[in-house]
Amino acid sequence: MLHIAIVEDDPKYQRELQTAVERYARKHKELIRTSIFSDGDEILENYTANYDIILLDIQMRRMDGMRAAERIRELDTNVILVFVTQMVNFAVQGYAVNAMDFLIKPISYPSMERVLRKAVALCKKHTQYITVPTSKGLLRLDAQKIYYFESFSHRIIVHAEEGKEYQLRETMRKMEETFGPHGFFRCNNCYLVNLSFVESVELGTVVVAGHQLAISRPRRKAFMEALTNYLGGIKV
Amino acid sequence: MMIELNEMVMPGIYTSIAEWIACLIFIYCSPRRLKGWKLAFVLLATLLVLIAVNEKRVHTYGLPWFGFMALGLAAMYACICLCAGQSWLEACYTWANAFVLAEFVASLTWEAVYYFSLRMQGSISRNLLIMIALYTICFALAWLFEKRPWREPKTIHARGWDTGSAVIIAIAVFSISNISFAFQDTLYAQSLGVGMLTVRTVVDFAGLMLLYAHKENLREVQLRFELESMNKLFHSQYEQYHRYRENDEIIKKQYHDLKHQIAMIRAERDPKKQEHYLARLNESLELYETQHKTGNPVVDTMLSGQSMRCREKGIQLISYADAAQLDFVSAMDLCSIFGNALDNAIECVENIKDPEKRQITVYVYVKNQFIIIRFENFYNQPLHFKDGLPITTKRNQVLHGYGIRNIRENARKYGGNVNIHAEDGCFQLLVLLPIKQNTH
Repeated sequence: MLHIAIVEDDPKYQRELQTAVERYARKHKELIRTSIFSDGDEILENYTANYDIILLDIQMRRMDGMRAAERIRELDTNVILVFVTQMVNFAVQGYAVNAMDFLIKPISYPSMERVLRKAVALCKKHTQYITVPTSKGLLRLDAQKIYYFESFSHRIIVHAEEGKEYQLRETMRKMEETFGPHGFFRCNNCYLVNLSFVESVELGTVVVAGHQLAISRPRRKAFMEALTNYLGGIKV
Repeated sequence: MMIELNEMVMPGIYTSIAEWIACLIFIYCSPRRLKGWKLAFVLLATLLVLIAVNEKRVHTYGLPWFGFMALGLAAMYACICLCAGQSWLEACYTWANAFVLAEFVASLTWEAVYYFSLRMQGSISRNLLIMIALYTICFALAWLFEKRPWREPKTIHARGWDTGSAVIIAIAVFSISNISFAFQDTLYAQSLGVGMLTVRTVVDFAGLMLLYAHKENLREVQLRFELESMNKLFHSQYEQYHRYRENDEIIKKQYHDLKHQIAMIRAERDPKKQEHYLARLNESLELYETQHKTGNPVVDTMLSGQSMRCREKGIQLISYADAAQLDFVSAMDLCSIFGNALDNAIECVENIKDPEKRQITVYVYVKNQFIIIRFENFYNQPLHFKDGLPITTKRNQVLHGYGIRNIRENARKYGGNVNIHAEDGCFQLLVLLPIKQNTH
């Protein structure tokens, strides 16, 4: 079940937002619970990080949306923020608080659907883990802490954050199947790269968290496409 | 010594197989209309028809000879028309090419068979060996020539005039090379003797070269035309930018006038007049609302200008854009990217009746060391893709479709990439650009 918070001081827009969310839930057969707050300070009072999505009005009387968003981000880095505003050009500060998108008043259902579809897909993206052997025993490692996998004589070397390396008896094909849907892509026969750490792509190399890896000519085009989709926010 | 002409007539099977393989090569190298078993069926049927018709033809001469020849040619044309995704005119052009290629290969092979095997009462297996060897070499070369991956543009569009000249070349080649076989009792045929085979091969070869030269020329003309069209569009976006900038100045001036207007309204005692002034004030404000602020002056101008255009059409253009780091892209390239993408989006949204869906959203943001520009809009017509780009919905396909190709060229110039997605009624155009530090 998804939990959506609506923070809006005008009762008219509160209703509009809630109706649109309910319509989305009915149409896409999602279980959605909504909580309504009528100002920025209300949601922050006893803030519990149990919302999946927050729809946040920018212009509010006591605490405006942008300040509320900054405070929320201090407490909760994962929640998806969507601003609600009257302006057609949304302020650049939105990216500073990592807001996913924004909606324009009056709320139209097609836009709500477009935005919620993206937000719900993001919520449902679960984290993938991998169990690796270490000297102290087995370690459960979050895929988002891995830079890249390297295949080396029937073994897989896991290159993770802080220069840590682990070895596994696995095949590259198996790794690709498991991590392909989680933003990993092959740039070469022996490297499977986490796209969120790609810093640059030159003609023959790709830089992943400071490591220069060779990119093979036939894979370059597909790699660029995967990278564009991944960074562009389209599920791969 | 009298040479028995009948001995020199090529068996029908040589022509049939050559014609069939030539068709295969050209169908393989063009987009296909049929796939799978349907394709296999048409190809097999063509082969059978060709064998039957040519077998009949070699035993006749004069008018019936021409009749059977025409039937075979019609079968080739029908096969190309059915299997290759080309218009009837383009198929005609392809047909002329295939026909002359087949004529040449068959003629060369038969000459070789005649000289190295038949003349010396060679065995059938030797004939067969020569035939297989020569067919393989010749058609492999033709295939490689046709399939060269680096050639641009990939597909050429033959117009009426091009097709006409190709067909005339094919017919001319055919009549010169085959006249003595069609009318075996003419003096011409008698005097040439065995040399007839050589004459035919040489004439066919000349025809083949002529057609290749014609095709390369056509490709070149088309390439130049495409580059010119893209260039024209590229520059028109930049000109548009300059017009928008002038507009921008006017709006900014108006914004300053607003303060004077407010003072006037304050001073006005008559409520009716005051209402009138307020309404006018509101109008001016609305104009100012179309202004976008993204941190990059070129992007601001392009978005604001297009916003006004959208407003007239009842389309809402909204932006969530942090373009401050886009300075490394030249103004001209930015105009091209934003102008073409928005033109494309407007054209798509214009067809939508539902006012709530007449909306275009522009996102610009930084992730890792890349800048992502994303254009999103709703669409209601089915889209078809080719090479990852949507095929233009505009009528004239030769003229249009350069907008997105321009964006792609711009992105490539900066080592970036362009992707397009159309899903659940939402069209997305993604531009990825690696951020470079501005050097100038």
